[in-house]
Amino acid sequence: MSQPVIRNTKPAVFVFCAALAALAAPAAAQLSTTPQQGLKDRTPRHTLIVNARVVTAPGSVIENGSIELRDGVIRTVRAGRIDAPGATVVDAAGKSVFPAFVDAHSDYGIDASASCRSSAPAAPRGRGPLAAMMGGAAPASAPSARHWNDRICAERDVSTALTLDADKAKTLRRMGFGAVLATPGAGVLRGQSALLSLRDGADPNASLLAARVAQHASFEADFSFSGAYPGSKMGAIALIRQALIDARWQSDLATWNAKENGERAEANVALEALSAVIAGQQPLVFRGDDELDVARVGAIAAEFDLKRVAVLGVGTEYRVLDQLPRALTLIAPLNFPDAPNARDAEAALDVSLAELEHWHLAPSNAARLAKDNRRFILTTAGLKKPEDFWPALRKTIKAGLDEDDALRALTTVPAELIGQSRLGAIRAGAIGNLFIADRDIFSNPGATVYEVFVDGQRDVAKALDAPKIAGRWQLTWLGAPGPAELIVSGSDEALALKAGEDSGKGTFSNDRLTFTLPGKLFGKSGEVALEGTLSGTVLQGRFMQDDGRVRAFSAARLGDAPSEEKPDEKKDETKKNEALGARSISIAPRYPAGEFGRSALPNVESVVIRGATVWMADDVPTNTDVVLSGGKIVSVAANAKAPAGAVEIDGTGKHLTPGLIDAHSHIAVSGNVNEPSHAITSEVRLGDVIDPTDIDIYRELAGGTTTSHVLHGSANPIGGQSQLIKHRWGAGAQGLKFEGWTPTIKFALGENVKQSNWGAAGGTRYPQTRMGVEQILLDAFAQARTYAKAQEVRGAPQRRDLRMEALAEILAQERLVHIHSYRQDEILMYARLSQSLGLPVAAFQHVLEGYKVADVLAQTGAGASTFSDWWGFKMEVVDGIPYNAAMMVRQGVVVSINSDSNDLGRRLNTEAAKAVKYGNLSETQALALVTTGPAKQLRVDDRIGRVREGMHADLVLWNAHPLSSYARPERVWIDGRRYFDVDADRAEQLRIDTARAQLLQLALAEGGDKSPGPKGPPGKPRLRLDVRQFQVLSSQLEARRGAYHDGEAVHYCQGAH
Amino acid sequence: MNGSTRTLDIAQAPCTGHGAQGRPKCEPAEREPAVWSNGRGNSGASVSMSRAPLLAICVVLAIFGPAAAATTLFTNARIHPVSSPAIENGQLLIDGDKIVAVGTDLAAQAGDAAVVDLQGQWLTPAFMTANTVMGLSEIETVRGSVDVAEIGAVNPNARAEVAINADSENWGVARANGVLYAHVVPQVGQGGVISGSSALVQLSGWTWEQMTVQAPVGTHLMWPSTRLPPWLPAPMRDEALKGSAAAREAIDRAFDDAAAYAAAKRAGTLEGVDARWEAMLAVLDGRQRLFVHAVDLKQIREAIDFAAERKLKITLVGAQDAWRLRDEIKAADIGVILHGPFGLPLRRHEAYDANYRNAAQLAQAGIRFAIASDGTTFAASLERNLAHAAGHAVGFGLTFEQGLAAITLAPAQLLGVDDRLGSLEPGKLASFVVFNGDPLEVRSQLTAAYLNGEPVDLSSRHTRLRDKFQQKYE
Repeated sequence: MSQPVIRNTKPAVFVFCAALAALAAPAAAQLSTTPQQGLKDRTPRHTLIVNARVVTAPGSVIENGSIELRDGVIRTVRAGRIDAPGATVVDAAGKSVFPAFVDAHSDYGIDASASCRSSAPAAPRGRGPLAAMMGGAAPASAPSARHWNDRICAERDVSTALTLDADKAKTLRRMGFGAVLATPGAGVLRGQSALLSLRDGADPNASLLAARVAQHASFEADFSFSGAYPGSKMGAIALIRQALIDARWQSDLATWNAKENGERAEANVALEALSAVIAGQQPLVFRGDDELDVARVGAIAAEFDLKRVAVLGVGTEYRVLDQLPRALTLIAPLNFPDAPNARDAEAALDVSLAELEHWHLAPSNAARLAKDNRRFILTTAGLKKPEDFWPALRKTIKAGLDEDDALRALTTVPAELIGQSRLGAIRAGAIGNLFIADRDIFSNPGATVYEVFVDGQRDVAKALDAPKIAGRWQLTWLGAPGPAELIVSGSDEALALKAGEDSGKGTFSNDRLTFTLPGKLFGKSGEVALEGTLSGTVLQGRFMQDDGRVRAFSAARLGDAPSEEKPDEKKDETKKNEALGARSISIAPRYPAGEFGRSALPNVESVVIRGATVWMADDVPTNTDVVLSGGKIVSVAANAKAPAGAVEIDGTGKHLTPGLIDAHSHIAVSGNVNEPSHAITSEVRLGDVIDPTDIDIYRELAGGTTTSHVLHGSANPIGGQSQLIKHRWGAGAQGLKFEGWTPTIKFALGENVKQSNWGAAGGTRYPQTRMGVEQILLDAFAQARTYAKAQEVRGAPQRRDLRMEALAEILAQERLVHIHSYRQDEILMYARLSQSLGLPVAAFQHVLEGYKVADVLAQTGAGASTFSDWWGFKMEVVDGIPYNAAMMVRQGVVVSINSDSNDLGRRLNTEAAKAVKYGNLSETQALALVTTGPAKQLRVDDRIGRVREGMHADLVLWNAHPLSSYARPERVWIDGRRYFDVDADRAEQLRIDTARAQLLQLALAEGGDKSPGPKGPPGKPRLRLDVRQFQVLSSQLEARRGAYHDGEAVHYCQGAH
Repeated sequence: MNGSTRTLDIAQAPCTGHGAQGRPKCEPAEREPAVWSNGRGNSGASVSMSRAPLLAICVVLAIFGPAAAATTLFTNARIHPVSSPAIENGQLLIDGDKIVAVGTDLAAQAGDAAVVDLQGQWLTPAFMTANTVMGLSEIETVRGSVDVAEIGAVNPNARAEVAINADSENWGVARANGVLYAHVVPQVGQGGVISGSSALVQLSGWTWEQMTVQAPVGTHLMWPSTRLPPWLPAPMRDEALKGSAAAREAIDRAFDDAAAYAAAKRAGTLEGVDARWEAMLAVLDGRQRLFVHAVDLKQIREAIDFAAERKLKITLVGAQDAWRLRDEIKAADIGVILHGPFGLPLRRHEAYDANYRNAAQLAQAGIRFAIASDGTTFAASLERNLAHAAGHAVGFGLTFEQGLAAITLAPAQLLGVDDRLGSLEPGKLASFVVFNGDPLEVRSQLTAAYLNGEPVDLSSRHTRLRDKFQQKYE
């Protein structure tokens, strides 16, 4: 018994078949249960590699060693010579032996078109053209005891449906790979991978090393607004969390039932499959969409205490080194972007600095991870074709990755992740996977992999003693010295031949040279085709004369070809270097990367602003001094005493206001602000998907906005949990979050939740009327109450339901409701509903008909957060009037004016000013609409919204009256840090222009002429759309944009959703 | 009348209607408010209205209805004629629908004219919004109320004016902020390139025919864009670009076919009539303006090349990237109707105020430009913010005069109606607005407006709803 095949039934448990005990057993072919057909194969598999430099593991080298392989296993490794009678001897003198690579994230062996549940192609579903363009939901699955959600197929076992391809295996093998993890490629919980040997052939029984190795996951969602869950990244995260909770609960319940009452728990094969992950027997491997996903995965790992978690990244992880959880293993792709198209200046204009920098820095991703002591794996995943692997790897090495680190990332680290200690190193007892290559294979483009052993099977890619065709040759022609000395250069696939002034082309393979030369060399016209066979240093060939007679020629090797660079190449090189120091462009790390990024957060300043007109919120603006220190406002007084070392700012003629607060924003969100599928999605959390790279954070900061309430969209009666952020541009997702606030949730009423403007796609989901909206809300609260009660009961393990849990928090008044509404009927309905439940309404959002029921709002203490003047864009807003805010204020309602727009979020001051124009609010009252008003609604008015001692130092210094059309913020502080400074901004603009110009110059020098590549995943277009159409659809398409977007305009509550 | 001088308090104007051309005088609000203070205390125009005096004035005007056609002298105003420097404590004399004089002491010239004391308020020409679908679109999501784009790629024969809803609620809302003229522009649907001909309307009248000041103003060509979000999946991107290429070809084909039609017509070989190419004749021979809607750099550059190649005089609309091409636009003397300054920068690397500063950069280059909205259906209900947009551009580099001109005289010039509109000059139409402060300031309130010499009804759906529900709280 010596075969290394593992047939484990338990996931990822490597069943050692007492292999070493069998060392003395007779040599045998792999044993098989398949009945023998024809003659038995008894070819001995016993090889001895000698005279090799053996890299047994990263950093461990035997300079002159031998390796004995027998029956698929490495038997002995040692310095010097091993006595191995009967073994085939491979003399690897001058060459190095490396452990074969392990690809921990491969699509080899997988049917790429298979969906999570079925091998049938997914049919599009949902809203018209968009659904068609975006690919649809997974097809309905056959009845079975699976998970309710089509994207949860944790039970999927790749080993049961392998698609092996001997040619593909050969390609990978000859690059040095010995084993790959065949990774399922669709779904949220995608199923379990299989470890495959890349041995010759396509026999699953022979190739399967281990089944059910790891569980795979992604934040995949259906962005087509089809109704399929999840329809957002936050939905996918919630779905994964709930599935892990359920898996744990199901197993607890089964245990409890068995002990207590003999009841049978519901069967669910997906949840059962997840128990291996929860028990730590199986690693959980995510596929990220961008570098921000790594931290999101980290949060899940921490929440469920999962120790073996990895993430396949996208190659931009170096941008967020300080945000990456250390417990995770990173799988880094080698798919570096092409040089941007710098020849087309108009196209180049659309390439961001972040993208240009990434093009320049991408090869250094792994080196930066290594330098930061990150555990990482390199993979072929993401490469356009496997053959790109070595050039990409060498680029990475050139960009600073240590060769040992590279080897580690391709051998021991992946082997460790998948729990396969017999892979990834050359030592006795390990599986016989190794390759022989030139010593400088990691750095030299001309270096070669010669032989690869997988399961001890030898595969010769190129003979170790292969003769070299490149060099100088003396032709002998019909017995006489040939016409000239022949110089052969280039790669075997594309040889260049030179004879004096004449030149020709040729190829060389299997010792056979085929080439053409000008006939005049041989006294003929045209080209002459010749062929010859090389043996050692002698080439023997023949050609055909015009009369059909075949004649012989020969050539003797004179030596290596003179190394001469082409003069024009040299010129190119010089030109490249001249392109502004070429590779010497240094890019200091900034966050976010590229434009407007920061090398560090601004310092907490001690500042005295003297003599500005200070808007204290409730009082009349006064000329006074304001002192900031330690992140707080420490003094508001005339002739205030400055702390030592404080910066003095002359505020004469300027105005100082609190930082503006946007009570309704949708900026800084990855992967859809709506979870538009189910009517109730209280389990989804905006906090899970905050995108700190959204340029809107900075643009709004430049308009004086310092805090934004980031809300779920309005596609469902109960949307998701909102997130309050401060515009701390330069911080990561966690750093943006407002600390210690009372969490909120978005509800919605009216046209959007009943899908009135969804065209034909609306009309099936409950509710379809405002009557139904009330009922579903009532029902949700009733269910939540029952749920909360059940949680208190001791006994059988209670299922934790994230959806109900959030609703129960509302009932417990630990979570406040902000509810999208327009018409007075629905406002009144919800005011009464919440009143009947004894719950507060933090704010009705939009509330355009609030002026009709302002008395009710005031009586019930509900806040109102409205638009300054939007109206008329759909039926339910035809009665919107710009006097709304003022009329509600006069009735004693706490009112705010919000943006709901990444454009208006830059001008909250003039939005508020409209309440002076329409409705004659005092200027102090108007400013309160974007300061104290929203602060009160958000229950943070004890910390922000006023210029007062003890408050957060969130302040805006304006060049003019803050409610003026002409006002511009000059400085904006958050927590006493100057996050915006108009002078620094101008300097930054210059830096951006210069940096872009430099990188584009470099791209030009490197010949980038490919148009900027699309970044999204492929889909299947089914109809013709023009660009204008896209712009119309963009608010829906926007759901799938990733980090570092351009900040396109999006309004969520205006139309369809 | 009868030689006596009438002094009207301007604050009473909101209830008054216009004469023969306008709506019925004293169009009743749903209910009159008992009290609605519209003053801010510092304008001098602060007045508390009660129902009684309001009705009284209505009665006065009803009696002296034809008086509106007589001469009126507006005094004690800060006048911005736009075509000439501002006049502190200025006077404006109108006769019927025309301006007679602008100056500091027109008493002699005024004779027995009615006198309106503006109490130091600001008086400027009426605002003109130069790119809108007001009247063609009422409620964006209600298909039956939207007539902005005809089907098909080439519709030069479609005429905006005949589809303009004279009873749109949008007119009153815009009028209340001083927008008295609108350039109503047909749009295109999927794959469309030539949308039709536009009309300049005044924001008051019984019918579209009465409202129409000039039609056609010009023909509109919507230049296809190739600018797509970089995150768009490849197949979608490819499809979109194919669509753009097809639209680009459709433009050349349309102009070639129209030229062939014109040639055949000249040669007398034409058989039958092609409505589309008939409508193009005036464009081809330069009698009719051609507006090219182009937002990004490539669109604008291609549009300029196209115009040069075909020897067409064009006006650009949109033009967010125009500042990048300002030398070329200036050299070719192309006028620009800007979307903006509101709206986001197009690119991540652009300055937060790239669009805010666009107008100032064009002004500095000496380019003729107007400020308008982006002409979307969403914007149709928000044209009242025109002056705020101009004000914002002033905050980012325009002078006040340039900002005001960008919504008055500049659009009048670009639309070819500056012989009648856009500035306060003798002989031009007496269409002007009165504000209690700087009219470009978002806090300022409009206190009166005159269209063709007649007071404009400043009530709207919004004031009516306000006044109706105000009663609930009294």
